[in-house]
Amino acid sequence: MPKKVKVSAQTIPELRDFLAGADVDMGCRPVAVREAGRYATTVVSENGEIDRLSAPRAGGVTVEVLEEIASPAARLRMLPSGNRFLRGQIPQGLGVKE
Amino acid sequence: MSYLSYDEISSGIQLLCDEYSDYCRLVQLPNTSVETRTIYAMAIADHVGTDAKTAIVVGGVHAREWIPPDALLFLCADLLEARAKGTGLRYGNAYISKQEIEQVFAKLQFVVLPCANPDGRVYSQMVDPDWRKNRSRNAKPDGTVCHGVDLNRNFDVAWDFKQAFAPNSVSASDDPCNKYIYVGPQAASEPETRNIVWLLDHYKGTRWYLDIHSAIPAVFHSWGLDENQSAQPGMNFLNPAHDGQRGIAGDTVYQEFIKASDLAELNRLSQLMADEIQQVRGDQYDVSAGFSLYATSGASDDYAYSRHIADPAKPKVLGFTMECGHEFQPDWQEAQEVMREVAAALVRFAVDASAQAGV
Ligand SMILES: [Zn+2]
Repeated sequence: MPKKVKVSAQTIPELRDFLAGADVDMGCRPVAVREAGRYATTVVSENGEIDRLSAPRAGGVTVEVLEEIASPAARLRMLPSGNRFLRGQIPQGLGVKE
Repeated sequence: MSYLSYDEISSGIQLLCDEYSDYCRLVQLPNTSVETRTIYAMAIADHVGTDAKTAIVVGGVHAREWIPPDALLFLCADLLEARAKGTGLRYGNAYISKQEIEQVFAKLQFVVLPCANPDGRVYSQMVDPDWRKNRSRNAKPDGTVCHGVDLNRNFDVAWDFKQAFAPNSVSASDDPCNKYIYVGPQAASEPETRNIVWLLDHYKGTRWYLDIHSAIPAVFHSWGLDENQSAQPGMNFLNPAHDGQRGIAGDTVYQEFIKASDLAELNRLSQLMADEIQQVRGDQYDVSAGFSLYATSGASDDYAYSRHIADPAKPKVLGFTMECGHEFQPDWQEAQEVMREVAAALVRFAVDASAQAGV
């Protein structure tokens, strides 16, 4: 199962160097946020790669598993089939008209 | 209800423009997708036209980000119904009055392209929910084929990242098999990219461009190329003297020039949207320029803003990227909450933009 992982480092160059060799999905746009004086980014990766990234090493990069991501099959199961607008029903927005 | 398919998005757009024909014009984009799907946008206003003061809003550039296309279709449904019935709109604790809705329709044109990347959407919803790019066919010299270009690395702003940026400083790849960030064989190589360029060219009154993505959550504005500076106009993406220097965080060798007044306005409008989002259910979106961990080359928000610098004959367009919600594909209950946040932010944005002096 893929997992969401937080990677943090003292500096952005340190974070970049670490991620350069990592097999991770960096999401829509790779951003680093300041947290307690460090730079952190959230990525998604698979168990084997997370184990490799989490191995003890010199330097100040830390790797923290946040949560599991639903499997691709489970996400695809959320989707209905067919076209719900074919019978001419007008799309309704989510705002309250008042 | 659950997430919309691309067929439903297309049907929904056409139904809305039929039902509310006084306020909605169907816009067929000039290019079909790589897999020949027709792509529609909507022009929404009391008086639509190419010279009207316009905000362009785009969703679905990244296929796996399932919320933005639905959010934009439902936003249009809300706006049109509220205008036709003469009501305001409420999203949680965010409220836009009837008078504000009327002002938006009278003084601003919204051009909304809910799903810019239909082939990617279909592939993401049928085969691989982690699919991000379009579905172009990238044949390699050895005969193998990989699919897809990242449309948000394909625009003509610092597109040639190997030339423009320092090594290991930019989120971009020239490997046609890179699953996420392949930039394409040339700038604006993809028909889906060229459709967005066409919108910016065609609607000459465009002053704002908003690209809706997920999921951080944050509102970003230009630049994504490097950190901003407002002191040296010549230090900009067009200047070859700075090739190889761009994209390094924390240095002063290269930072991207932006007029101080533009930066202040970008930040003000980004914060306005984040504040309105917080009204919906209390979620806090960060506000900042797009550059932090890596630079982004060829992104649509920077392209929109770069156009008046690359060609002074073009009007200035302020570019934004909203990164809505916390997951690409949350359950439908959560997805609807995020869609309310997107809608509230964009309507509040429109109220502000409509109150600004004309083109
Ligand atoms: Zn995205």
